[in-house]
Amino acid sequence: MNDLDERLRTLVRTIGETAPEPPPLRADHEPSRRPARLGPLVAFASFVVVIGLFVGVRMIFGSTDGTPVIDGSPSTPVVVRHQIIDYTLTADLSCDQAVGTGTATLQLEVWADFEKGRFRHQATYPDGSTRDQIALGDPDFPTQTFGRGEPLLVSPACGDTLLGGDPTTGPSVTFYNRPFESPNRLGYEELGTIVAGEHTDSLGRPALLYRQIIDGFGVLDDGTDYALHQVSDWYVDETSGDVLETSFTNQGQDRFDVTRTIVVASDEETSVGASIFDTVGYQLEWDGDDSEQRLGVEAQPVQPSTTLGTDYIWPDPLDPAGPLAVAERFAREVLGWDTPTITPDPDVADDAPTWVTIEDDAGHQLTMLIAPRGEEGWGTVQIGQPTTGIGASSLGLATISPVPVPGATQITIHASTLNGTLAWQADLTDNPINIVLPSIQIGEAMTLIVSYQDETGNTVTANGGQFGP
Amino acid sequence: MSVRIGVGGYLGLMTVIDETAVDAYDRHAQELTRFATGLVGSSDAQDVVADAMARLMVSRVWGEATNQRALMFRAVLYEARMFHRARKRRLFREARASVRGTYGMPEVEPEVAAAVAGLSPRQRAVVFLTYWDDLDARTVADLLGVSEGTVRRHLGRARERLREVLG
Repeated sequence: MNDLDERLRTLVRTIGETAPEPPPLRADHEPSRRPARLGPLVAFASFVVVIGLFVGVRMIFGSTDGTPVIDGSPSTPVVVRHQIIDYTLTADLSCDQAVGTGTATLQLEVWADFEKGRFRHQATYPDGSTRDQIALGDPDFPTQTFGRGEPLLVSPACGDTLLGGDPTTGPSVTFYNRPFESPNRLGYEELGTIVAGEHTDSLGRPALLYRQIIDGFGVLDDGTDYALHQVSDWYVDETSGDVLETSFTNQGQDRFDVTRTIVVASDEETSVGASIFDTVGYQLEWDGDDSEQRLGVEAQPVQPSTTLGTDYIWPDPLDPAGPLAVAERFAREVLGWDTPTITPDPDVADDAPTWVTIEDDAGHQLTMLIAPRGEEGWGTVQIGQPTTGIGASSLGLATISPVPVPGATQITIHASTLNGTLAWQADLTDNPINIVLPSIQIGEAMTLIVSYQDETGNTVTANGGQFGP
Repeated sequence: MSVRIGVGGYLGLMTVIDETAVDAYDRHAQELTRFATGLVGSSDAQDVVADAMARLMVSRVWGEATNQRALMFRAVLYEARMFHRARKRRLFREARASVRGTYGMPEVEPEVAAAVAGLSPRQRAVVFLTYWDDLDARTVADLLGVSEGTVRRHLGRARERLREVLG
């Protein structure tokens, strides 16, 4: 035990000793710091009984028109978190088949009722038109989502590669600074590293700045590599820990420079009528329960065949012999390619990150980005194309989305976690969209290698990346 | 599920409270109030706990909860965050000084107290639960509904900041 631990323990216990008597339990829902007004509060208490009867009747007889039951009459006041969010996409595109160059904006107004599990956001576009979505269950993983109006924000793209999008096209509803930590999302505390100095967001609000920088590469259809530089920023209220503003800049060398900025302009509790969640006039756009059962496959744990690092993907420990040695070892030890052909990047300096291409006897190729870290040695920071990210199931377990790989019938996943390297395998013959990794949550995976095997067990290709700060 | 109608302790208001909720609160009221004290200070802890319980026990999630104790801890943490948000707006409007050092922390090692007060509520929650009863990361994670890795990160960053401040 060190001095800091002891001082903290002493302080925490001293604070705990000063705790007052517990307050009496009450079942109203009026914040205690508001001025006491007996009349409205008694009226609210009457509402509780009325609501109970109403819900009871609807539960017995059900809804006959297929639309969800609004909990309470349309005029019933409900306390919600209300946010105004400004969303901006700026795209400077110099690629072939560029779409969406310029700046696009929309404003989101969000109402979130976490107690009843209902969420609505409304996008207002510069021409005044709107697009509404109401999600039930969880804002990130709704069981159902209803929508009306059309998403109008044009997604910047280079050919088939989308570089941003309208936040109202998916089933989820935008919300920042959830009341409880979500195991389904990674935030600044998991991904970012604090940037020293004084910072303010674009509205001039003092903030801590967390940042994540990822350097990697993309691959064009013709096999040409191009450098990727991605920066995520989070401006965070120092006291509440709330995200005030976040941005993501994605730069592809000589191809695109796209920045998405999200500003939480206001966030407060307010009381609104329950009709705000009425889905009459909306179309059912998403039925998450059915989809997840149909499309999700649970991977089976297997004995890991290699050990991943936590900062660099592989090897662990780093290898001082240089990038070519790392690539050759990776081919043999991880992919099982016994006689690989190694092709270095001819233009790179001796001590700089370098791309190395490996190829097996059957002609399968894989490009890796290998970088040095001082005298510790070299390690991979990206394997293959950045196509397989890590996501989360509605239960919070980590998932990955496999990409189509000709000839692949099986997928093997290795992940480094606080408990060491874990591994799983899953069958690809039914083309699952999501593969659930049992026993880890999204925030626990730090590096990942995903490899694809054909029916004879030979590895066809792989990709991998790093996720933690 | 039995229901009892009683007189609450707030303005003599008639309330409808599920009996199991009353029992659950009675069992954990002391530790919840202590937890709230660690988050917002002793002078506001009762308000935060009372508001958190009032909000939680009429919610849908309460009826579906498999771990009511954990849910109550999360509700107190949420209420503490709302409390900080509201207080910051109020202080801003009133053009008062920084909110730092206004948590009603005891005058023991004031520099440590000020450093803890400067942590975010989530970091403070992890620090409090870790050091109050020597809870391990897994237990804290279960209480707050986050992964063990998230707890370790919160604790690591909190300790990092405290070490910077305390030198």
